Amino acid sequence: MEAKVTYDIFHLVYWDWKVVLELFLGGIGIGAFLYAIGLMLHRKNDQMVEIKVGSIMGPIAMTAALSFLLAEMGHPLRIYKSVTGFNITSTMSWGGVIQVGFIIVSTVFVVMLFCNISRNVRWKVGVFAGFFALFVMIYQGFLLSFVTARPLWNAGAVSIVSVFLSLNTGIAAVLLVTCLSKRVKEEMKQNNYIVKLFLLVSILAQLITSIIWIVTLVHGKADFVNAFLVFNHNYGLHFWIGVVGFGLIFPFITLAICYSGTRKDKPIPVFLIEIPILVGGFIFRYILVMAGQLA
Amino acid sequence: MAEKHEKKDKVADVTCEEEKLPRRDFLKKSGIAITSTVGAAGALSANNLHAKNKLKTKKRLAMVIDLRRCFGCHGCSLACKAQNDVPLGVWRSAVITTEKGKYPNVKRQFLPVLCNHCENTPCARGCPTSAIVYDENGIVQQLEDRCIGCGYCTQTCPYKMRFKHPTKKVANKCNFCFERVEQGLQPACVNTCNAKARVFGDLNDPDSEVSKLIANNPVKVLLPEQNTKPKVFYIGLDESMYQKRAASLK
Repeated sequence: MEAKVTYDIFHLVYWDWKVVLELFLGGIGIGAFLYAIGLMLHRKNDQMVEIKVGSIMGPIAMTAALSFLLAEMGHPLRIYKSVTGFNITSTMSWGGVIQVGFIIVSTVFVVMLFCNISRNVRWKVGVFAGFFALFVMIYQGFLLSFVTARPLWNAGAVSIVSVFLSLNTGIAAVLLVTCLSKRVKEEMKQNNYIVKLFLLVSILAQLITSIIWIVTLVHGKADFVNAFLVFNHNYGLHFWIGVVGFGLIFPFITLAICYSGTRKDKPIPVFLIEIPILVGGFIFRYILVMAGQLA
Repeated sequence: MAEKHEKKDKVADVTCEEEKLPRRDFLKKSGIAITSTVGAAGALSANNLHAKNKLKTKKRLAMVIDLRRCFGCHGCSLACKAQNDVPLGVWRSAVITTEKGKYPNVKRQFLPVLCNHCENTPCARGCPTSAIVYDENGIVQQLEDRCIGCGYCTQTCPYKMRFKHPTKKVANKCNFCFERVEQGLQPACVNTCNAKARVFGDLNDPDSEVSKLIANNPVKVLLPEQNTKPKVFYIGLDESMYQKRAASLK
């Protein structure tokens, strides 16, 4: 018969909503910026409204994310010690440097973009900032998946899920902000189907990697299975309905309908796609942080 | 309006063709930037006390807990609280109680837990400010003046024996009462234990009690699969009785 703990006295949840917001806003920032750079390279034009909005969103959202991270710390003013006491084996050490680097380089790009400074150099800076954004995206996944003590995070698919989550929420945020602009509607007439296709593929990828994550837990070692049981009991409904149903399947089906036939060139309906993606993305980040600490 | 944008795009295409990005130059500069960053990170990390001290450890202080003797009085938890001024709601050392079986074949185990002072410390590896060091006595020390209170070490500890101090706002854990150890005394929990279940000593000394206990008894550690090389050993541990902690189900 299985043993049961009858007396244990530990408070297990250390990271709260501030860390959730940090990961969520950070994901939006880098997703939006990568979308802007991708669009810029595809169209060979950086004057489109969506590119400008995405570029601005990058550093602003990332700065907001770091603010929440500092708010969560016990001694935020000592943050300089992460440089003086840099730990080469620490994901968080690298993440701090990369995130600050991204904010600086992306801000430089935004200033050059709006002040119309040297197009050639501006593009190089933009691509360089894009690489930083990619590294931040990878770091966000590794931050949790490198914690071997938390089985829910240690399941390898978490890194890949995080990448697609950031992309989807970033693109959704940019589309949401620019949806009312007439100029955007004109500009996007040529790109609409590419953006829709990309979003379709990205949502599908997130759905598949999320399922892989669950399967890895269910068919893994004993502590992975235990972690899944705790996760399912406490947050199962939030995950299957909020994240998978509302945040992924619903926008995927809507987008697939929008991609078909005569609707191909029509703009993406905001309230049926972007908002569910953002809500589902937030719920997923919340569940990842909270449930991961329980098991 | 549409024509204006079309014209702009055509101009952009032409300009782009004329000003093709010199890729080789860009890649060269990116490579130099990445190499310098890694080099700088390595140089800064060279000051990491954790790695330096591991190389010159004089002692390997460890603890053996005989579960056949422990009767769950929690005296060790209280002594630790008193010695180290541990606030309410958090513990540096505690006793987990587990039960197995159905009446009349019931078994109960008392399991004292504390920081395992691992030799392969996951908490030190993850600390962004190098605030966790492995000192020359083999004790994993928390440098409170370096700690920023990010809580990453509390997440990486597989034994869940780290906590964020409610008033100091830094990470905190058992340090084997090193102030007492430096004066030649035993840690508070060892000193208090009525059943003499806890034994403390130097693994590098073959004549120490811990070395002899380990040599003469089948000892086990908690979570060996985590490969942390802990220095708290248990005699009489029933692994099926040790459940990884999970919050009580709602």
